Amino acid sequence: MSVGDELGRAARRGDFQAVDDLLGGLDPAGLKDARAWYRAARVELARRADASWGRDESETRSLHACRQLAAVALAPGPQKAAAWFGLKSYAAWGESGRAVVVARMAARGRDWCAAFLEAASRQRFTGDSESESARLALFGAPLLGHFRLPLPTGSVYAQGWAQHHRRLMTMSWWQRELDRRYAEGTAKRRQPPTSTTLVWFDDVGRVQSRKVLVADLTLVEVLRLDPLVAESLSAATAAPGALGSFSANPADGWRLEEAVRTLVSEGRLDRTRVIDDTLEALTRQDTPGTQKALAALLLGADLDVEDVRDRVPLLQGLMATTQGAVTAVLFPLVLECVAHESDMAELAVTVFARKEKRLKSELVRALSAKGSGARFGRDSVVAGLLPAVDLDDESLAARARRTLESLGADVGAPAVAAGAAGDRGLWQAHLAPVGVEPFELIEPTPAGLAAAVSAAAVRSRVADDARFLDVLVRWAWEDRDGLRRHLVRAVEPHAWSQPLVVNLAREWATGALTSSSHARERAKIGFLHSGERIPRAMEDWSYSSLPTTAAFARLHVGETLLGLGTVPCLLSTPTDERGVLAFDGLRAALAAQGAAGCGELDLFQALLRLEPVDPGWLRELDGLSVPIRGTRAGGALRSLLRRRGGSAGTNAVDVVRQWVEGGGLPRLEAEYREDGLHLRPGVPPVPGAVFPAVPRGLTAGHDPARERDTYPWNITPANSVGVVPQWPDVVAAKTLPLFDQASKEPPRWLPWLVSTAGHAGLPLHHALAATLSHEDESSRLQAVDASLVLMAQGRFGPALFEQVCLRLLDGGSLRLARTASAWEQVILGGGLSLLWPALASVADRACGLDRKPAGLADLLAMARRYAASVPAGATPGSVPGGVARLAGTKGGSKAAVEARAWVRARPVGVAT
Amino acid sequence: MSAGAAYLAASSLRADGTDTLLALETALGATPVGLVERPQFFSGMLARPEVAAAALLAVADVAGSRYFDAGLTRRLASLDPVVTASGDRLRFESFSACNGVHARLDLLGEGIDSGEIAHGTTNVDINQPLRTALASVGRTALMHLDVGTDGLSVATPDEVHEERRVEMPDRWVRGFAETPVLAARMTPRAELAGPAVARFLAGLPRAAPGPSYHLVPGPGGLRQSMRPGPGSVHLAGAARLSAARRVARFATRLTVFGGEDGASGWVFGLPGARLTLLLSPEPYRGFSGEGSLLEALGSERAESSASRLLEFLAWEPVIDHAALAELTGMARPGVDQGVAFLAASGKVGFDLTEGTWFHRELPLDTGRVERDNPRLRAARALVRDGAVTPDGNGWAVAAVDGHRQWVTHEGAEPQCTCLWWAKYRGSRGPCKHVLAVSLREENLG
Repeated sequence: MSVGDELGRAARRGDFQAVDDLLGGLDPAGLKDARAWYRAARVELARRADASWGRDESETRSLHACRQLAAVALAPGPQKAAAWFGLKSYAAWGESGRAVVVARMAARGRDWCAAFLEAASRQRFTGDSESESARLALFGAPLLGHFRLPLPTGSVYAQGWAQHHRRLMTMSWWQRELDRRYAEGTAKRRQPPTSTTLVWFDDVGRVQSRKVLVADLTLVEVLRLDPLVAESLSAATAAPGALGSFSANPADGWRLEEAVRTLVSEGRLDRTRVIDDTLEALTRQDTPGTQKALAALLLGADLDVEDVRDRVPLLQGLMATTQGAVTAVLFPLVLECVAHESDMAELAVTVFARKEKRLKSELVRALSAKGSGARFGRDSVVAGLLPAVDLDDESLAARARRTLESLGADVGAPAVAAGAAGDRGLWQAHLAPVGVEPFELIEPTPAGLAAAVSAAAVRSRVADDARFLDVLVRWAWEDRDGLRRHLVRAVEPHAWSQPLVVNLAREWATGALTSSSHARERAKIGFLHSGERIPRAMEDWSYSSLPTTAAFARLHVGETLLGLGTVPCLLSTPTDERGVLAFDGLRAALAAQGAAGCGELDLFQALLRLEPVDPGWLRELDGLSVPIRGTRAGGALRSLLRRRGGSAGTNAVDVVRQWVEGGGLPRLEAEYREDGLHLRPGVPPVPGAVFPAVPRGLTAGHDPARERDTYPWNITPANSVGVVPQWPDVVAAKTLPLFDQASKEPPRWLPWLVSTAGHAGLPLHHALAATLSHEDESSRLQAVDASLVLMAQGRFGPALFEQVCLRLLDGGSLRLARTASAWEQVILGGGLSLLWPALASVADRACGLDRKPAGLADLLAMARRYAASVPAGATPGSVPGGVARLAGTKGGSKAAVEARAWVRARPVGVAT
Repeated sequence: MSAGAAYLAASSLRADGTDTLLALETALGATPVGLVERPQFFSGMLARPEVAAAALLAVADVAGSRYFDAGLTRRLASLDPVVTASGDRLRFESFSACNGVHARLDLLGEGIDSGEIAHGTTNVDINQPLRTALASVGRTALMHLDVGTDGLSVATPDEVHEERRVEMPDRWVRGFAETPVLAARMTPRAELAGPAVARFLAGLPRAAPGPSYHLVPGPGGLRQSMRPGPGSVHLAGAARLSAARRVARFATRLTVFGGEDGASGWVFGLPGARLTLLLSPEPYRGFSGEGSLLEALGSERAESSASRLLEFLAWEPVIDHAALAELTGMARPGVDQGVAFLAASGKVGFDLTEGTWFHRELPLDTGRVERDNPRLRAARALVRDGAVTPDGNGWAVAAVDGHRQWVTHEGAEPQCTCLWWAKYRGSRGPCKHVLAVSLREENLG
């Protein structure tokens, strides 16, 4: 058997020890044979190793070790060996075989190893493979130390060195977390302990390895094993973003600060070098995570005043550009070093502009402290405190003012309260009216259809699906077969990028949509959207994941498509872009209907969209008669109704009359109960039997206990508020959990909800209030816009909003700091008078709580900026009782200080 | 940058007794006398070294940042700012790695104590040691600035310099062409003065790209909104302004400019200088794909006007359209069209504060802006293949797969039936169908 055959057999078995033995004993002829084998087998070796991933970890690692050994010993040069080594392959960590591979690499000699590592450090690692760069450090660090090689110059080595330690840190953290869960009883099984193999060269140059449990490792122990730790840390500090991973989840024993402090004390790290490298790295704009790690390096090196005395300009710049963890380290030192008033003024401008309250407090405290004049010089104290008198933080501003006055500095005219806005006429602010765009009609031509398909695919407007259906119906009325041919040619086969309505249209065109498939769909939707919770086992995901409005829309589309060519237009086509149908539009559509009659679901959709109608207008329907076309089952029910002497079940015009005379679409009543917000069923003024195809869930209101989960990805403007533009509360109530603080999904349908026309009740106000307090700033701003739209439409209910806010406050989910910033935007937009009842009540109640909620001072500070705009006769008054009581206490908390400032900021002549 | 362009030495900041010398090394430069290797554009003293150093760092920060990413970690190591010497000022420009932010430092006459400014455009080397040194420049330093060093620093016997090639990605080249066109459409929307500028910047989030919103004038002043309003400006990716933190403590004024397309311009007034940051309409959209220049590039008439204008520009800091009309004998609309074409070719920039164009000719083949533009290429292919045919009151444009789109001229703007148009409604420039129709109409007319 040739050497190549033997290598092949051993490699296939994953017997890396046998592979290494064979490679170690090659004579020139054997080497030639082995290289020939490697040329032929290299790709297969890699494929087998990669393909084994997920089967057996030990097998995978052994196969990778064989592949790596072959690359090291048989590749034409170190550069090719680096390329074929498989650094980027999953699971190529080579735990068990790593010592053997490292020894084989060492056997190639110093120069070979240097060239190999240099080439490997220049490979490109991007995205997920970035963490794989840790392997380079794993294999390379022992060799670099052994041969006293300089670090490779490619960017990957430093990145990989940091990733290697991050990996160990994460493994250690995770192992301890699993152990903790098992000890707590939250994990049923104890996970087997994870281990890793440490590899190093002993004093006589032999490779040693030791398997250790990751839970027992600490960062300092791992770093001690690295003979080039000082160089490696320096390189990692210089590599943008490399150290960022050290700031995430630092488990005990893995804190960078502690490790650096220990290694500095042991002389393994040069303190000055760590400081110089770190200050240099901070001149980059790294991620917040990386800057946190750099701050840990400065702390570990115990940075002190003497280190920075000559670097004040650098530190001034860093104070302006770095994140809080860094400035917390630098600030006390900069303060010590500032020697000139212009430097102090520069520092003050930077610090007082920053968000961190602690920095501002420390600077004001230092400059206002007894003896500050002697410490900094009077001119520096004045220069540093002058920018503080305009601070929004009333307590700091007052303290700065007092100190400046005691120094005889000219502070300028005292404000009623710092940051007070005065009366800017905000109470009477005029909110720009929100216009209503008429429905954009598209001509039933190939160009029109192409435009309608594109518009529907964008899914951005409420009436887009209705527009698409309208084009189809009017085209089919003229040329049904022509439309069918055109749809097959012009519309893509079923595609996720296309909306459902377009996909169904193509199904109709190809004959895949039939009466029987529609009937089956109707039965499923009727069952799954009955308003009752269906057991999971009985659910059909493709229908049960749809919101009920979308399920109804789907049936309506099916009915419309099956009736194409029989009617000239739909009854339900809206007359404006909010999805609302004006009475004139409905009358015209009824008048245009032919003998075939309208669809049952189309009629119901029209009634859902219909604007409030004066019964007197019904005279305009005199003489009209439009039969209702329905399914067979629906037809039977209507026959029954007719036999009982009524015609309302069979004639659309009569149904409309009955609907209007009965008061139209009922207003939905909502209330809070223990389990959440309930929406009472909306009982339409026409019996449900007239519309047997309508899923009952659509009018069943909302009961959190019975409601299915909501899946936001299925919600579009057209299939939600486009179906029930007069009932925005239905959509709001059914999606309410998605407006919670915990929701990751931004409430993208909030703008559509407020752009509707119907009554805005408790659910919609709840959605607004919760989103105004959301953790995501963009979501809060979306809610600000939505609030202003609702206010401009005159649909915003101050009392409803107040009720919701107090409930959220009681439940602990009204985050006051976030809420304050969002409410301020509403006020700046002209919503002060409508928002004031909620603002005053929330402040009143929060001030009265024994344990003051977090962010109360922010809310009070914001409110007092606008208190001067509240007119004397307003209810509630400009200073709520709870705020006045808190202001009257002797407490020195920020909330109490802000409460006092609020009282001072009230308009002249207004009592509390 | 053209082949062979390289720095012979690294830029440096050296202490020389009580003075410091900031030596910025240049590469291949375009000048009034043609292409010159390592030209010298300036040698003199700066009035406020700490301001110039911080602002130059801000420009370098932008070049080294990728704002639309998981973070700022993935960056291009060394993309060098472009400097344009315009006789009375120096302009340093860069783009972020994501191509969504353009930075320009205008070092004005007031910021220069002494020294003559030449004319031309080239790249300058900004390396990490220089960044660290720039970050350490204090107000008391006396700083001499050299833009181009005559290669003298290379001659130092104990220093060995490795020649470093200049990198100029295609996205930069396209960005240089897009940004002036976008900037010229902007109008001033808001202004902040004094410490309010630093407070505004400090209030912005740090994690890139940050939230996007519109600053809308309201009854109570500027407020944040997710929707545009009259006179509003779109701050897309608030953390993309983070480079300006470098100069926040020196800023005397911030003027905000906005355009209807969602791009915005932020001009920071500094002692003796101005720092301008242009933000693309969305953090995930680089300037190179905006398509605002496509109409200008597609016009052959504008191209011939532009080539006539070019010889009269000579790195003027302010392009005077009336004077150009007089000099060339061209009608004013022709001059306007020609300048628009030059902007779209990356040969002129736009100064927001002064509301004027300035000449800045990159020492490379800017024709690739046009050649490499995918939409323009696709539109030309449609015209070439005869896919654009008259249809009723408009045009039908046939695609290779048999689908057709229709372009009509309803109102002032053309309309298309394609998905691109439905999504962007012209805010990202014309789609390939509209572009193809305008090319076809120009051929006919």
